[in-house]
Amino acid sequence: MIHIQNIQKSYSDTVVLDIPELRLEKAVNFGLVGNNGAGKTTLFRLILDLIRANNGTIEINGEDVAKTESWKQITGSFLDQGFLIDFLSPEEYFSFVGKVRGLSKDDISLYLADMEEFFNGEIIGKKKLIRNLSMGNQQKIGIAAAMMGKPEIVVLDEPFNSLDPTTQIRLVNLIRKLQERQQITFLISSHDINHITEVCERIVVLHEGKIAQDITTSADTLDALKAYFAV
Amino acid sequence: MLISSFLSHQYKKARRSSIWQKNKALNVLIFIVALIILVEVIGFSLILAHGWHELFPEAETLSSFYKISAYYFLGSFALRFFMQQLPTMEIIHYQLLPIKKSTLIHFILIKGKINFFVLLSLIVFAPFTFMQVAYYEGNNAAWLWLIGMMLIDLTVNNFVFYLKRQLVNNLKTVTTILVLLGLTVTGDVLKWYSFSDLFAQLIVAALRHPLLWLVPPGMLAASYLINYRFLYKRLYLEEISTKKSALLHENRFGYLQRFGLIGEIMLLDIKLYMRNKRTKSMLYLTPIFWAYGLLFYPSDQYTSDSGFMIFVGIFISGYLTITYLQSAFAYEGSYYDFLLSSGIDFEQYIKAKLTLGSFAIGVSYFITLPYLYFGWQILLINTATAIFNLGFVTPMMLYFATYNKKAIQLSRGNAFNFQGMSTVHWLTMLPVFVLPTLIYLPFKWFGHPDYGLLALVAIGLITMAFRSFLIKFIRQNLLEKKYIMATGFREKN
Repeated sequence: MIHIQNIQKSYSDTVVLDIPELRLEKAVNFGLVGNNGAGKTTLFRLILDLIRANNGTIEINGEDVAKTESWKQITGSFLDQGFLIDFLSPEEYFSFVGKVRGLSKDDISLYLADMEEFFNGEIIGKKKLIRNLSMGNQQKIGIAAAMMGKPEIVVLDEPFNSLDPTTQIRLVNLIRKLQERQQITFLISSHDINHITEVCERIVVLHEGKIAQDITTSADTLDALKAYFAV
Repeated sequence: MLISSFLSHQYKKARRSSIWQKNKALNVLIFIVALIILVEVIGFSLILAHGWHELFPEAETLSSFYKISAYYFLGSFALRFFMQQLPTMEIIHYQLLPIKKSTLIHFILIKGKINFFVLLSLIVFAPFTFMQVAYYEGNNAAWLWLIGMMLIDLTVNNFVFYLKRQLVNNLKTVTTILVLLGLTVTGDVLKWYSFSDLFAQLIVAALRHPLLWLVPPGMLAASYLINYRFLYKRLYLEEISTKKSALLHENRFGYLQRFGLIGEIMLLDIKLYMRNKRTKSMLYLTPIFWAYGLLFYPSDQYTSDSGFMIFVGIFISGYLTITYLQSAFAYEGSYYDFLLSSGIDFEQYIKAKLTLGSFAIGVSYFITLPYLYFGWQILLINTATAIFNLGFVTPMMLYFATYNKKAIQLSRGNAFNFQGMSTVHWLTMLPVFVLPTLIYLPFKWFGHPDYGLLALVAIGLITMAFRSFLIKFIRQNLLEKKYIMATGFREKN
């Protein structure tokens, strides 16, 4: 599904990411953990072609992301506030994203109705602009928008941040559900090793831009990760 | 019966499309602007028709207008060729029903006649008919002349219809047509031959020999028949469903649907302007910039310097658009990562911005039309500069906009806040204001200021004809610069 080859990214002689090879399989949720500055966001930005790699290529379904654009139609993403148009209301934002993704008005309403549990009644019909919502609610909007239009890949950077505990649990269930029903491959980075072991079948630990561990999740994974980070 | 249900389907399609439903406010705005334009054009035409005989010596009153009519038809041909959509509907839905093929084709052809350009012709010709032709030639001849002109207009329409179906709209075709039009006009101006004289003589002859009035209906009937037979031969599902077929593919996936995303992007930018402090205060200042001319027009000292008047003209119709387009991407800096990764088709994204920018120029131009009060010269200059703005300045500003690497923080400050502005901003302003004056001045120095205005108009029209290629060019540039731009936009200052 995603094939990363020999990718390198450096800022003025400091190498921030260096991955010789990484292959992600379809419908195998991929977790990325690591301390600050480990290169998690950099890797996601490279996959989404938001920054230029110094070296190497990334392919989605065999297409080089830096040279083609059709992969964007099957890839949803939410990395940070830079993915929200904050002067729109949530409804307007979803309608815009839906339109870009080729959804009809009805598709969009259906999708939002589906998301109502995740929104916990705090998003739709509130007559507020996104910029006037709390961080947590903005986060919900970004995540929900990333999953619109039946993507095959969804990239989420720190999705559990600033969500309340109930919503965190709902997000875990939502990801599980979508993975099963629609065969979506999630790429998730998080500092929360509990949640990431819950939703990801494969977890990669990044350290200073290099792959430190590549784990297929099992019952022992959480303890192994705890041991790794308890320095 | 059948025709009326076709019409009702078309009406419902337009009415129920999401763009109309969602953008009622925008539609009302467009309606009001269209109304203002219509009233102004009608008024203009009435005034012109009323005073025409004072502009030309008695003997040439009518023939001068006939000559200009020839140019009108030529211009109307060019405008139609480059701007008019093929009036097709999604007949694919109807083809499976027991409806006669001929009915469908008649509907397509006749519906194509009802459009803005026909209305425009009526507005241009009708006042002149009753105020001038009727006076010199009598009422009957006036009616004949008006009907004749409208028939010729419809024939031009048919001709464009046929030509557009035959030719693929590519760089070569556009260039060929432009060169042919250019040669026709140059030849006429330089008197190698004169199609306008010929046209005028034909009309004069026709007024003497009413039998000649059978020519326009004949031409119309013939052109209609040619179109009809052409469509009849090609109205098959296979030919319609192949995307390459020149026939009907314009509307196959719904022009409105394509317009849908462009409309959404335009609407997004309108919301951006209305809902953020900085842009909103810029909008509030716009009337002041429209009134800019009042500083200079009342004084002869300024108006005699036509080079400076060019600058004022560019500024008045272009200010809003120039400030919008030169920061078009920087305004969206706070969500640029989303735009890059969401899969928006950049061609449509660029087209949306150019369309909105052109719209703002149009509005500015028509709102400032009353500057006519200060004389014809000013109207001519403002018209020429508006066309130059439309064709040349809009794509150029958007091209330069890719060089802006600082996001503009919309929530803060007012119109005189220079956060996010860099030297690039000021540098790109330079060609906008200096270039048109530089083009104009040499003509003025050699004693032909009118040719200077014509040159501006010509550049505007030519760049307009090449717009779809310029869009591809801007898109390429945007793709090359996107990493630099996105990195710059991410840095919050």
